[in-house]
Amino acid sequence: MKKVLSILSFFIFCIVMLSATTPKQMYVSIQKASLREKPSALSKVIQTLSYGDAVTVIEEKGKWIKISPASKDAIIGWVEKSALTKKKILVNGNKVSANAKELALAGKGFNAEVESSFKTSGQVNYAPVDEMEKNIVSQSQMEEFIEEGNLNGGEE
Amino acid sequence: MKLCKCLCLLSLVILTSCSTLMNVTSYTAQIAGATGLIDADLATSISESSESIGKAAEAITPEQEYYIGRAVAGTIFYKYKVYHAPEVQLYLNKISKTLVMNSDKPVLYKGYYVEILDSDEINAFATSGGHILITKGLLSCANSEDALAAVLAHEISHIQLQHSIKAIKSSRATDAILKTAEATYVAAVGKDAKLELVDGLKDSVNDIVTIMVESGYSKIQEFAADENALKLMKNANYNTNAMNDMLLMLKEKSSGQTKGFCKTHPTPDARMNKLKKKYSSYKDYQSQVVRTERFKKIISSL
Repeated sequence: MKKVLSILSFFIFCIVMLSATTPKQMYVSIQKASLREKPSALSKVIQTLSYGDAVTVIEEKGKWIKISPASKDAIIGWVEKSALTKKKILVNGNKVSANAKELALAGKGFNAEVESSFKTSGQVNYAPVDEMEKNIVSQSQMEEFIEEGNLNGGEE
Repeated sequence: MKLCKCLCLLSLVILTSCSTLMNVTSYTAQIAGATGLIDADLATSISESSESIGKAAEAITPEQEYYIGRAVAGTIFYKYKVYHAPEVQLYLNKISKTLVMNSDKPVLYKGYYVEILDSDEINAFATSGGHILITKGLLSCANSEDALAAVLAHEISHIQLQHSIKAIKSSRATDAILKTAEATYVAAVGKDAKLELVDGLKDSVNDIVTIMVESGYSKIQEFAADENALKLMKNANYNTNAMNDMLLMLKEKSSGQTKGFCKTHPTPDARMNKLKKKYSSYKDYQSQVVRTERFKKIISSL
């Protein structure tokens, strides 16, 4: 019985040590993610990250993650957790063999090309969709709106 | 020995808790088939399809959700015209952004966007791509910014809880999503594979639009969207009681109507009843007055 417990403890120790020493890598899963100075939606944007960019996780705080882009580890900032995935995203990937839980191919499956063919079905009007997606609310407009209405700005 | 028993029991509990709703449906179908309640082939088919629906919602990437959402929005815009009111649209976008920045899912593949539909029908639609389409008729039911926030929070909740993706049932659609999710899928797709994807997208859109426009989401999903909406409102410092005001107004304005919200949603009474004890206390009435003033000023231009 003691032997079983010792082996079990050893394995748990190894797992803890491995997870403590290996830096956690994640990938940007949205088109453009803002890297912010502080964990707040209204904090200053220090860099914009693109879909598929690899990042190194430094710290987690609620819905925010402190990261450093894998390509520029001198830059450190905060990004929303929902903008990242553990799945490795291959932006220019070709046929690869891996589990769906570990990998995703960017731009494959339903994409702009499939959308073009779908458009020819005739019963669809994409023009207003493109128009509404152009409506960007600036950070200063949001700050003013939130302050005037005494609303919360997504701070952690 | 006791320790072994405990470990086994713990594993069983973990495995059981991992069983998703999808598995429950699958197992139910299998049992029904085995006991002769339904045809064995049908049982296998239900079991397999419920598994793929669950897997599709789980495996789908934000990019795939975005393209499905765009196609759904495009289909809705084929049925409804846009109502051009840039100032009101900007206002609705600001309210939505405030709600999402205080939520657990503040970002989507491209973001959240609101558009107004030129219709007196009381209705709203939300796509997995973050498109929120709200009719002029529904806007006219709101009497404050907080009530408007309740409507938008309900729609945002449908997006964040992936209700439209869970509405996809056809096998061509789920196959397309699952194949795409698999990295083994050939990147340089051939003509046949592309046609399969276009068919998959068509079926996805058809399944989602049928639910949104005709049958509506399940009552469980609607109540879940209401509950989540209260959470979003509270996090953003909106008065959650405005949801009740909105439902009262919907009850009054939709009396005798058979289209839009009345057709696809549980009755306002049922929704109010479900939310009865879920409202949070609110004391910042002075700020609410400021918000209502700006609401009146902007909405008057509608």
